[in-house]
Amino acid sequence: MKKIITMMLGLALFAVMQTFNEVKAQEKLTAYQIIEHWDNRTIPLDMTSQMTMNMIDKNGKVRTRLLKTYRMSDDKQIMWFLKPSDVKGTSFLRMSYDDRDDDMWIYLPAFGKVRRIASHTKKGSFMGTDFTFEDMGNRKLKDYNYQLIKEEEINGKSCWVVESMPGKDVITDYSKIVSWIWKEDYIDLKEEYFDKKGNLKKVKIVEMINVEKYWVPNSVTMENLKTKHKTEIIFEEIMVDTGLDEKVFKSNYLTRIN
Amino acid sequence: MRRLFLLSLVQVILFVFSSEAVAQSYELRGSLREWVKVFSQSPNELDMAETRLKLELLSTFGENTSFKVKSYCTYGAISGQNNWNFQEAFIDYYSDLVDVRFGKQVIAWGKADEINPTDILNPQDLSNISEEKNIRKIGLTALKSNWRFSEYVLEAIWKMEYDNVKIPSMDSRWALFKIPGLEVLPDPEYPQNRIQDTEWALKLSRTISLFDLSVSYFEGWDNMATLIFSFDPIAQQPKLDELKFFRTKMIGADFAGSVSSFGLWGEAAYFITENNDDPLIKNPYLQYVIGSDYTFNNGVKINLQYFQEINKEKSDEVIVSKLGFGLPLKQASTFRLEKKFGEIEEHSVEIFGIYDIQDQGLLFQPKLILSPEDAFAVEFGLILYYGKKESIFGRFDSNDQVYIKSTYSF
Repeated sequence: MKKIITMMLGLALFAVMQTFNEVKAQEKLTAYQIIEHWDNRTIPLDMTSQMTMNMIDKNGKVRTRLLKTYRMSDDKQIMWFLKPSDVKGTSFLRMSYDDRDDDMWIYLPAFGKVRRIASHTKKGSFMGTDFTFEDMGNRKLKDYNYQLIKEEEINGKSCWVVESMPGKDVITDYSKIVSWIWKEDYIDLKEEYFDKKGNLKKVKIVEMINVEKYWVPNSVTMENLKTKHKTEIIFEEIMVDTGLDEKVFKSNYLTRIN
Repeated sequence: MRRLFLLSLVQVILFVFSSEAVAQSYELRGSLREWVKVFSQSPNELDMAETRLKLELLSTFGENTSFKVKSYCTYGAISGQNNWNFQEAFIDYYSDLVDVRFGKQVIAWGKADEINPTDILNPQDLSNISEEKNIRKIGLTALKSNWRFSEYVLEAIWKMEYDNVKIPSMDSRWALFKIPGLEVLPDPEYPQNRIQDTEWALKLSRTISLFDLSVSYFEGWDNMATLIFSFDPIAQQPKLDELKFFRTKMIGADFAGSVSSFGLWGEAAYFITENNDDPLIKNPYLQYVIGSDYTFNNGVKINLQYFQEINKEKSDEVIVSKLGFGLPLKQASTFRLEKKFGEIEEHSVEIFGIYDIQDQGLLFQPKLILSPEDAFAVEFGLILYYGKKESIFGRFDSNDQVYIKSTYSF
């Protein structure tokens, strides 16, 4: 009996020490390490979902877009517009790379051909939403300089607040981006985007849900503080690790009838 | 042969419709467009008052097959005529190695903006030159397959139906050219309806770094008829004998990408036409276009292109080249300024122009597009023509127009 109690106490002490060590380790992380953890967080191998995009103006008028989207890790994404009828058939493909800018293509049925989105147009709005093409892509770790500015709670979730400032050669619409990264799972729950003059331009809020073993976004809201306009994306019919084939992320899939 | 293929296509579509067990989903969609154009000069005649219903029937059955039918039903209020035209009716089959599209279809080639020297697979109907390019194109029966090998895509096309560019009649105020003493052109001698007279084309594409590249080859027929003259010994002057199409080959290439903050693209087509001895056939000649665009911080987008046709051996201006870009120009530049505005950038204002460098003419088209609701847009615009009488735009000098166009999509 004494041995068992001693063993249990030992295990409890070990567990407490481990937790303490992890907390200590987290406390000691640099901004770059936090972002590195964020970049390497556990995400689904692939994900399919339907996206409802509500574009809400300052008077509360709503315009809605319905999309189908496939995603493979963080690097490949393809989406097709299903509604409304005047944009139906429009589709978008993004391929991200570690060593160079993202490739993006858009298919507009009216032109009948797939068009590459040049890097400079990435600051333009994505189909009238408050997201730019740049927001739809991935930021490269090495392109930014990071600074841990504070720690803060969002909805009871303890977060690091990390400031990302672009290097001089990076083509971006922002002078800096401030991210609230949830300590538990290295997920960005909120981001603030600052324009070239240093003024806060847009705020993104992310709500996550647990699907199988992953945290995935349930809704993403981007609000433009200057225009008081916001875009709310709601993810439905989320499926993860479906064994999606990589061939889906080819430009010929953009033109397929859905 | 054309009828045979169309009949086969209709049979396949009927079969698909009747086999409910296989079919998964159908969708009917389209748009209704009203377009009124008025000449701005007195007596302000109506040029066009048209209602156009676009209907598209789409279906997917199984994971790898789908079909689409696109038709335009048009009513011209001035002529009082109805016209129902099937622009596309095709079946798609997708597999890991190859995607196949069979049926009446529009194939868009070229990476330049609107001016596409390599875009010659579907002739255009130029009876309304201010019509959208995708509507101007005449759908033709073809078998298209896209083969994927590693990073390459090989597009192979067999076109079994031939048609030519439709131009406004010579007595129209929109005539692209006139022949003195001749009001109506004779019917052309079309290529024969034989398998050896069908057309085919190949295009190999891939992406390298930030650029999409392709090379292409076409073997088929000229899409503009050549005027064949003989000398009339009695009248002691040339006499138009016939309009004839000649076999033509095209070697093409294009690219699109970005350099620094600029979008950049280019497209070139080198044409080789048979019958080199005929003085009215240009052989060979090169058409190329280069273009760039840039978006300013205030959202204004500017797009500039330069187009040129190089034809060293024969420079007779009567000879009209292949019209991959719609208008018979030899050296021109285009510009487009565009700014979107509104809460979700649903409205836009645009200024588009084509400057005919060789003959000094200008097409200038400012327009305002408002979209107060999803799926509804109304467009107000001017189409203005300036230039010397030798230029095509100079000939349209008295054809300036004001227009309103509204489109509802469903």
